[in-house]
Amino acid sequence: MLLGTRKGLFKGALPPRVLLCQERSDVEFAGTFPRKRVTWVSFTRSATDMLLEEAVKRRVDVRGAHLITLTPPRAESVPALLGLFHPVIGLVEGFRWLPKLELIEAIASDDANTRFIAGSVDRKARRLTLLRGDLQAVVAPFSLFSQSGDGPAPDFGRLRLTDHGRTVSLGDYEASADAVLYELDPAHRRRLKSLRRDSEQSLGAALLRLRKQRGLRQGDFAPISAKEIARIERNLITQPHTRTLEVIASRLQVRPDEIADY
Amino acid sequence: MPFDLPMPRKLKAEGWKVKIREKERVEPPHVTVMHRADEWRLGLRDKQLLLPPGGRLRDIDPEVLRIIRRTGMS
Repeated sequence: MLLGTRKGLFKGALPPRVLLCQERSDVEFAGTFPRKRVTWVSFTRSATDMLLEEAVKRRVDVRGAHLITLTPPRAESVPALLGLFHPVIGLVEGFRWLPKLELIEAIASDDANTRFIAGSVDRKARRLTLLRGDLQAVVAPFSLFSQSGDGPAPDFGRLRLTDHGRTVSLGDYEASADAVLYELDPAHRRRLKSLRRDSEQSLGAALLRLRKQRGLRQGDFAPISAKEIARIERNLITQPHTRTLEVIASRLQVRPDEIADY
Repeated sequence: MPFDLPMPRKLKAEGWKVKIREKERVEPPHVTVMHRADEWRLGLRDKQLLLPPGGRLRDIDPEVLRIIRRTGMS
């Protein structure tokens, strides 16, 4: 839900799943959407005031919806905003935002959790806080952005988010969002590992995929031990005995030569 | 400055970029191809798209792939 901007910003159709609220009645209509899946983006302080007024006056239920204020709201309105929305991002000055159009597109995208929409620098603590499109934050120590060879050193005073949220620019220094998340977010690493495993062509990877598809555990292949199944799946055994393959295939209800196709 | 492969004006206007940034996941070696919000990692060893984000080579403008090959990167 966008507040305090004009459709002209988008030079055509709005991105999918984005709704522009230009009038007070739009806020009431938007309030009928399932709130936990709604992110309000307010471009101006007056738009934030309007949202708050309408939410209170017309009892629009926004509790639990996300709110991003690209311009920090009035200090007096902060307690009410915090009471109605969760999380509220942009309450203080100092955030560097992705360009508006890219920001909206990144939030509404399917890979919002891998793109950065905002960042702020804490020089005293030597930390950079980066906010993803799904509004989860990661905190990166300055040391994460090491200089490579005779390349440029990161200039934390010139933080920008670019390339639709896929690049963190620190002056002339650039870091890929993927590389930053790989180091800071265990869930991101697990997702990558799972993607790699799914794409792998080995017999072990095929067995793992098929076993999971059948809802079986490694211990479900007696008399083959769970340990041996694990060793095959981890490619520690690349050519199992014919009899072993026959037992596994029978349990998976396929022919032995079909396992590798999965 | 990241390595930013120069693109003809037309491709640049369409939003195509080829980059190697200062901080990347370095293994396996690759270049990052970008087109507006889309991104691909093109492996320099096997010339295949890396996971993630994977994707299909045919979604990349053939002229961009030609330019990458011409520079000897792939």
